[in-house]
Amino acid sequence: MSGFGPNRAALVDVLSDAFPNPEMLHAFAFMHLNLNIRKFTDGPLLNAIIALVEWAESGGHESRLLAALREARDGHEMLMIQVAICEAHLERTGAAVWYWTADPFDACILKGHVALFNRNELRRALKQLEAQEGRNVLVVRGERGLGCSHSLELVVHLRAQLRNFRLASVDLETVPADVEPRSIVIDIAQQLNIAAPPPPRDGQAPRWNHDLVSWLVGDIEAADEPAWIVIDGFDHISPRQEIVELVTSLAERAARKCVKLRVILLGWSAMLPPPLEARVLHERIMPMRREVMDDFFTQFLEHKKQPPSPETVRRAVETLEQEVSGDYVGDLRRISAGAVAIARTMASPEREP
Amino acid sequence: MSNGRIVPLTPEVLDQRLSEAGPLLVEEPPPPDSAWSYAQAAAVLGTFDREGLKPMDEDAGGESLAFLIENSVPVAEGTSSRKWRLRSGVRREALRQLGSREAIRSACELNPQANGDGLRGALMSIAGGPGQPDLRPLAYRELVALREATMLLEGIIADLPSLDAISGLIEQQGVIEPLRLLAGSNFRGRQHELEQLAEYVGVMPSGTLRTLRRSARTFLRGSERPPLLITGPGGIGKSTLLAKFILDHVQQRNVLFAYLDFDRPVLSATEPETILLEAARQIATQADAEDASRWRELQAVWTGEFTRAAQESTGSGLQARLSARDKLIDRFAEQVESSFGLQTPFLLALDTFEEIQYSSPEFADSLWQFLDLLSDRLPMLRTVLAGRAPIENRRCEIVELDALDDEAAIGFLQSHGVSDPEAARLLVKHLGCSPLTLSLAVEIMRRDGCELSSLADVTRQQRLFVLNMDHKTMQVELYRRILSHIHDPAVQQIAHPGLVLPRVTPDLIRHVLAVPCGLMIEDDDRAQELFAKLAAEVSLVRRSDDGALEHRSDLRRAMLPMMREDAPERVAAIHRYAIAYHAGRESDRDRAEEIYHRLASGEDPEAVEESWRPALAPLLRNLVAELPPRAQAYLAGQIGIQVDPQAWREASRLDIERRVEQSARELLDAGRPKDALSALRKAKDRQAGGPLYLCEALAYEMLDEPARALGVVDKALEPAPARASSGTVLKLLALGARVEAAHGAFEAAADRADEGYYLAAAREEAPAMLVLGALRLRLLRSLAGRDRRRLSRLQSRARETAQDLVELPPSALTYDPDSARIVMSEIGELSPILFARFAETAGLPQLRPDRVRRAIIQWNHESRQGLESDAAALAVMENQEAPTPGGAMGVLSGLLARHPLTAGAARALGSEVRHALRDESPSGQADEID
Repeated sequence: MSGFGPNRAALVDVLSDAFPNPEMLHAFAFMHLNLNIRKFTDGPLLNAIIALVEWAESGGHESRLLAALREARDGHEMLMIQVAICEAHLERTGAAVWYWTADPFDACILKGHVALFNRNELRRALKQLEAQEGRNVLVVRGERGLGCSHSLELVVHLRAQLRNFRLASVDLETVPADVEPRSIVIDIAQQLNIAAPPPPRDGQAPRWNHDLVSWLVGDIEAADEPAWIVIDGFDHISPRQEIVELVTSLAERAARKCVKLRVILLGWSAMLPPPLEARVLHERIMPMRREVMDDFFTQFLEHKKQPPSPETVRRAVETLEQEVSGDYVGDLRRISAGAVAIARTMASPEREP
Repeated sequence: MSNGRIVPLTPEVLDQRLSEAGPLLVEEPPPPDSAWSYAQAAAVLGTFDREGLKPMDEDAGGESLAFLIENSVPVAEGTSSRKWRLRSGVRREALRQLGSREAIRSACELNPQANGDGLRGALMSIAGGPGQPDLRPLAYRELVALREATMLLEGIIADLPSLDAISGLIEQQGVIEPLRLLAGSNFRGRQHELEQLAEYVGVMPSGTLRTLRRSARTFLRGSERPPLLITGPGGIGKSTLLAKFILDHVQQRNVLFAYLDFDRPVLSATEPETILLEAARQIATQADAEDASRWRELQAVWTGEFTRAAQESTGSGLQARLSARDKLIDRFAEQVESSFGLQTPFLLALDTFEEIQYSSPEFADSLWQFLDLLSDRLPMLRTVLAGRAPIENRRCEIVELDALDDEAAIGFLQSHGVSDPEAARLLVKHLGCSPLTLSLAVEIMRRDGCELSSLADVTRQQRLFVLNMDHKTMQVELYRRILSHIHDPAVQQIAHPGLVLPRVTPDLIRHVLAVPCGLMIEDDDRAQELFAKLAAEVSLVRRSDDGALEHRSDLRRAMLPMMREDAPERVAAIHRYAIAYHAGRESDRDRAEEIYHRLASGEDPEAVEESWRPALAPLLRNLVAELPPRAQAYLAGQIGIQVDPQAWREASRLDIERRVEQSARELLDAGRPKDALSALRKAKDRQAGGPLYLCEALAYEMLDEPARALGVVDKALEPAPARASSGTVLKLLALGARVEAAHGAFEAAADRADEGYYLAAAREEAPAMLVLGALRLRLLRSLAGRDRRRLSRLQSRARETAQDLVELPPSALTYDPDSARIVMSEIGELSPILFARFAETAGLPQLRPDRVRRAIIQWNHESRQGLESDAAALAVMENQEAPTPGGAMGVLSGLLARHPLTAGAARALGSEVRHALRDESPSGQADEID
């Protein structure tokens, strides 16, 4: 059984004691979880409680709900006991989540214990893409090894949290060098759950790219939910001209006349064709520095609602430097793992007796 | 388990937790050697089949297979059999373990691939030895695979082929490959046209009579020649002819070429510079090594310069851009001369030219001017255009392709699957040489399930049908025959005459086509089912960008008249149902289609005027030619496209005024104010306060004739402006203020800006409020100096602006970042909330770090909560090195997002923004006198 498991009924029961009317529960959800339960139900108290529990279980927000309950109703003894029982159950089943942010764009630790250092430009740009503010293409540039591919982790996180767009990603490093543009479009179509394009019957081969993009974009624009396509690996391989043109066509179409399509190019170092380049969002990843680590731990402590004193941050950074031998330009994965391990140690839920 | 409060994380608590945690990073042990057997076998294959892969060690167990699967990704190939590919890091490690040519060769031999595998072939060519593989005979795809193999083996085995040499060849072949695909292997005929092209470019075989004639003509008229246009309907073979010509000459290296297709994303109809940028890329592949790298460097530099210039599109920025365009032409020409000399012909092939012609005559005109300038600098430039439409008002040499010749038609059939030349010859003899007819015939044979390779396999009945067809009605008959092959009668009904709709969607099938086509469509599922069946008829329809189905354009041109003639009542009913359907919906697409159907059913264009909006233009552009002449003229005026002269004879005065406005705007955008004034003279009568006045005033502003510009503005605003569009009036007022200010009349300028601002506020025009609000504040700041009365006016206007703008939604503030910053500089103290909102939406200019620090200290002092808990703020306040890559500015942006801004800090920052804007102004002078 997932989520709160066998404790679900007891939790529902004690919640109805802790929040005697629907208004109190709505206010709690709004103030502490930034959540409007009326979106799901406007019925009596029990319906609202069930909606809240369902929201937590279906979105992986169980730990977040329990922490909010601790914060809001720590004087309610029965509720606190039930919260502790549920927390223990989540720990046992491996479903405990020890980190979350109210705004998913702010997350500095992502699924799989990946740390996302700084990347404020990326967060801002993704917010713009999500808000449909007119720019539909984002290009992330940066030297190999600085974390262009890491950007995908934040997009995946947003997809899981926001649930308001479909996502397809292609890593060109994992496709054969002689791959046909059509195979890439098929891959994207499969991920977006749309029909594969028909094989080209006649006409002029160099224009097949045009037809492939039309096919893909046609289906994307006809659907209700926007589709984000992330193409990665340009910093690892030299793609063939046909592939470059396919990607450029897709980005061009997204930038010029699409409403639903978003395109994100990771590790793309060259300039896009000039009129397109002027219409896209950019992020340039800079080499890692100690200050970025300061920011990471500061941000993390703020998310955990711990005052980030300069001394605590300094000690956390020094520990990380010992773990990775002070090498900020080395293996990003190792630095990330170290930072997350320290963050986790800092976040262990130690409580006063 | 404790239910108490969370223990605060002090440094001491942290130290304790870290000391108890032990080593935080635990290294994963590497997989044992025995796990690599499958991975080593897969490492030499681009993709592999999991079931069929043989491991290097035939005793390899499940552990090795599990390791392979864990480190492989599925590859989408569009076939039922799933292929896998080894991850690159593991592939490289597996190759390193193989470690020698012999071991790599053995791995390749262990898993022969019946259908070929590019990577395996390339690794074999390297490992197979002796010596390095010969690069010269390798095809494009083989080179691509060889580059991948070479990169993988770097540092593993010695004496690899040169990566630079392979990459150079890939770039060369990358330019040629699209031409090979275009020309195909079945190109035949067209000898006469190929000779015309050779004569034009100047590459006839030496010694021929024509060469002598050409030399004589060149001598008589100089080396420059006007462009040559290859024209003809779609599918006639224009691109194929061009490709074949270039391929024939590329081997001889006697002509320099660039093949550019306006269908491709790298080219832009509105930016002729993009032609030279792409041409430079292609030329690099034709130059010798040293020149090639120079061309590549220049291409990168020019692209960067042009991208920056492309962001400047108005006023002095526009002039700078036009001058940059001229310089680019000069530099390009100089480099061509330096690399190839003056005598080498340079063939600039511009395909799908109709894209330019259909978009706007002014774009076409700008392109012509661009080509003229280029031709002046490069006398041996030979521009060949391929397009569907004839070119008017320009001297061109013409090669007209109206039908295929017999040989070309046979080649066409062969490229469509009729591989037996005799069968193809027989079909051409009976069906003629129209590509549309031939492709319809091939489609019928395909649907009949006959082998296209030989007519011997065609049934007698089919042969009789094909061979006894009446030539006059051939295409119609063939089309009907294709329709008759649609098995589901409901889909047949939708295809004919339902395809009179420009687009078909499941919803349109249910709510528009059902009744006129005599169908019972009970629910959305049935409509969706019919839509899917129609979508499968790929010889009739294509999927459009928004998921709807569209009639194939070549068929639509020929078959729409047939549909109207066959079923006039049903077609009229479809129009009626479509009008009712779209009228009840709000989107631009619905409005466009409502207008299309109303015009197609013969309504007066004036009747659709109320529904018109600019966003409809791109949705109707391709449908104009299907409408009656009067409707064509109306839409041409609204959209700005060329239509048949007959249509203009039926145009109204308003249509003509719109057309003139379009032309004038495009000429102004192209930096040609004098030509814009000439164009404006074509409209005899003008609407009071209308857009033609605005265009005229803009032209005079660009020509730096302020008195005339202001005269036009005043004349336009003289009659009651309430009748005119508020957008145009506001633009006229802003323009008046700008012109007055540019000539030192700040007081008058501020009055005009004031007037405009109040009008914008009264009409709640948010973008105009922002722009005019910024303009008047900037003007008042310039006037104020130490004059108390003026300073007080400035403050009162700033307060008013802050009160108005704070009411607007944040998105309204993003309209013009420059204006937003000007407002920000004046309203800081008055509305810290608005200041912070502007900072978030428009971004702050670069401020001096010491001033930012001072503002943060003040903010901390004024803030009830204080900013000390914010580590980054504390560091800035303590004058430590700024703790983010963006320095103090980065910290400030973060603080603005996290803490409410105080009045004193907002005032200090506003003043600093003002300082920064003064520094950024091109003159480097203060607009203001503070």
